[in-house]
Amino acid sequence: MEKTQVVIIGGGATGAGILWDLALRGIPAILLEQRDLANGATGRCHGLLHSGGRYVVKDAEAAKECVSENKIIKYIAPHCVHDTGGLFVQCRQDDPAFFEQWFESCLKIGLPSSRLSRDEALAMEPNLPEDILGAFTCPDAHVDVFQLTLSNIESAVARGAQFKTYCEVKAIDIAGGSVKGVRYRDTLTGEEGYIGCEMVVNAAGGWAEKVAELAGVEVPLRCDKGTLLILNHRLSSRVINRCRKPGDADILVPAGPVCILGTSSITVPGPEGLTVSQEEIQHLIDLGAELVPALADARVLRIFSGVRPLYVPKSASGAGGREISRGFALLDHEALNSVKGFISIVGGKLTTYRLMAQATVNLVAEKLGVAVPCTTHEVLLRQAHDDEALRKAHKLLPLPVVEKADKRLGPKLAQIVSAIEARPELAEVVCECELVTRAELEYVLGTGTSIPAKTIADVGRRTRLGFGPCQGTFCGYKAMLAGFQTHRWNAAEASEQFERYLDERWKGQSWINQGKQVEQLYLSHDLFGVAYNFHEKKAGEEGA
Amino acid sequence: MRKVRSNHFDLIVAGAGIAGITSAAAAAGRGLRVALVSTGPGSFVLGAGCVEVQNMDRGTPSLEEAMGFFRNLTELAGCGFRGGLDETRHIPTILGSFQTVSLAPFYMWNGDPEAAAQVAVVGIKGLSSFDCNFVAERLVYHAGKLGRGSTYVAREIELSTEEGTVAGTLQFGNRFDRDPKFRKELRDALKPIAAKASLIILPGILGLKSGQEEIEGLEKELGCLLCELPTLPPSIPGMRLFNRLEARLRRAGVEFFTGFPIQKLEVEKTHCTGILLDTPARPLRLSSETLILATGPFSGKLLGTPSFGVNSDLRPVDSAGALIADNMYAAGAILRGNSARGGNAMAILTGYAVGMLAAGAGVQYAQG
Repeated sequence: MEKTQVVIIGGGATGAGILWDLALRGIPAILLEQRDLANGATGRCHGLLHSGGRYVVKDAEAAKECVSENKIIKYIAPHCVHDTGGLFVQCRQDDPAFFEQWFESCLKIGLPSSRLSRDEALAMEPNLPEDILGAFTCPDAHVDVFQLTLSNIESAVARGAQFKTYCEVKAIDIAGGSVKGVRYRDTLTGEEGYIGCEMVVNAAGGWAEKVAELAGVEVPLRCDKGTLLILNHRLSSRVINRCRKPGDADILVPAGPVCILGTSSITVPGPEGLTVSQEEIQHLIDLGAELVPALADARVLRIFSGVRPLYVPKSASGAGGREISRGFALLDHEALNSVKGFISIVGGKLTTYRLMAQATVNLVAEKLGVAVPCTTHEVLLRQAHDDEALRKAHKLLPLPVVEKADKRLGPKLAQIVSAIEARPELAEVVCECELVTRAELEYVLGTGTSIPAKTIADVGRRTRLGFGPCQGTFCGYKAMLAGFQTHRWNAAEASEQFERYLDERWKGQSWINQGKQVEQLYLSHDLFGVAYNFHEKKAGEEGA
Repeated sequence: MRKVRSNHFDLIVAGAGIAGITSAAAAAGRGLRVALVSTGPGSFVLGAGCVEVQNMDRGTPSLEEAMGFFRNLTELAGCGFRGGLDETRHIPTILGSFQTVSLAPFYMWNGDPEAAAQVAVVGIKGLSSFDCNFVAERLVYHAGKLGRGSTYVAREIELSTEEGTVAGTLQFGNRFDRDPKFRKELRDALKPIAAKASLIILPGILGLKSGQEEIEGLEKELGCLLCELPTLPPSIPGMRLFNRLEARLRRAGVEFFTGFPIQKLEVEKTHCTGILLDTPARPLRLSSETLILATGPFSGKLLGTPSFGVNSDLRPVDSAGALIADNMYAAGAILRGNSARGGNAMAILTGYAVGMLAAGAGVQYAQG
């Protein structure tokens, strides 16, 4: 039987942040994630490091949290943040009274912002409509959600923490009103295990309600679906917000070579089986085009949805998705439901993940009698890179490849460099959109990393492989071969992995009904569909 | 003074996939002056042109005739197709599965496990998009499922690369065409493998322009059958097929306008008077008596309507069923719209039919 002090359920940003915070305070912990890290809402959001501007008028508390967390994340995780800055754009069709209210509210809570004239704003962002009235600046930024989550885990593991991916919690063992342990099942191998522990932290996001049920506790959640579109160009250099009461499709975030438009806000029954309608997509594009007209003709690479798990105490159950606070709730089930050792952390948002982790671990530490204070706001999430490795990398790889690899790998770049020195063929760039080398591919699939990839989609979350226009059609096949060559999978497993990967990639594109990406999707179907009987399966589904 | 040829043609074919090529060949064979307009080598870069007829109604008029025409065309082009409507073969893929086909180019036709008992799957060191061990292991499994007793072994060979280049199918394909030393190197590397095998499966690298003579010559020297697999795009066997067919069509008098998208179809009172090509500096205008659209499933933008259809005479119609132009035909994957993948059998059949119709020849065609 495995033993630890704390089991965390959920491998999103919050769970990962909790693992890191616990590790810094010397509390042994194991994190369990039913799929891969950052697979839920964390990996299905804008990747926006909020300045607070979004909430400043209606929810000053949430905005204040964003103001301080924004600064902290930029300090502790510079390798995950692209500090683009942001604009709140005053559109002609919106309420001018709101603009002033917005600016005053920012001044009040200390959110740094300055006023731009129409011409100044257009000079900075030429893709904005000609008829805007002006804009305000703010310190919004893009954050790589996968890197952020993985960095928390990697750092925690370096300090002795543990985690298990593809492990679903089957039962929470409670005896005499106290948590005794957790039973889980590895969904890839089918093996079951039991971890004895003193406390369980439920950080399962959209699945938190289900997890709470395992402890016989009710955690009322509202699952609010947000749909996002990935467009294949950077249509803006900064995060573009529409300066008005928060609504659909009013944020555009530049993310590496692409940009992300979102979102919608639709209440759904649960976090699984999300679908997107054509009307919803068109609605987002139409609204987005009011903010950035070029968007109407842009190529949509992929459409995806995530679920905001909004905490709805019974008193607030009548409110709509955007009216419920984006603040978070820490539930001590010992006080609430007399279940000793069980805590839920729900609601909140990506920008405040660290603060949520801090609050959670404060409570855990108090209950365990640990007096060490939180230091996650001052300890860098990753050590600086090794200059010697970087110098060598510049000799072995083209400049843009080095830049991307350095950002993704930091101190681990040294391992890639020595692998290429030993086998020069590993310098080959396998994913040409995100500039992933074969060396990096073999690294994330291999045993040299503390957060190995178990599926091809996992490789994507670690390297961004397959995130560009080909959507994994070419590089996914090569990743499969790499998994076979590094003995992670035998040929049958590799083939099955690739089929699952393609299914998921194709699904993310199947909602797109026009434009170049449809041709790309058909190319992918034509190349691999025959081998996987895709067309027969599809015909079967349509006939059913 | 040099004689300037006019920009007026009997027939303009738009699109250089299998449907466009077949229709241009059929019309040129009937004496028409044909222009073939395309942005590039169509769907050829993606695959190898294998033809499945399993899903087609065998009673379809002209099917036999069209397939015969296509087989003859490829034979004349030096990349002959083997097989026929009544044949079924299982051709391997880079996923190590089998694709069921009725016709295939000669350099793939022998890949069926029926044809050979001892098979070597050959990989090339450094060619990362092809793994002989993976393909061989999967072929063993899939051949077993088909009830075939062939054995598959994986063999890796090493080939030199030119300074400053990497091991890629395009690089190898190019060198196969122009460098006799490379061909010898390849032959020498394959010889010991061929001694123990009746069939060698290898990634498509046997030239972008090579014909029957070169490839069958290699087979003869090795004393072993060869089967090339199209790899991730660009597919060398597919590009070879295109290059051979293009050369054949040029000899038959077809004029090619390659590399330029069609900017506009000029349609006046439901009659297409010409097309504008998006050539550098200023558009090039071509006109013709008849126009064939073989531009693939994504032609809505060109026709100016996303919801177009094609009537039983293979003419594009708008959503109300009215002809878009009375001198326009459609062939190939455009007929299927966005709802299904294109099929090469359909492309050959409809390409042949509209080519003959444009030439005023009586051809029976009824859409199945």
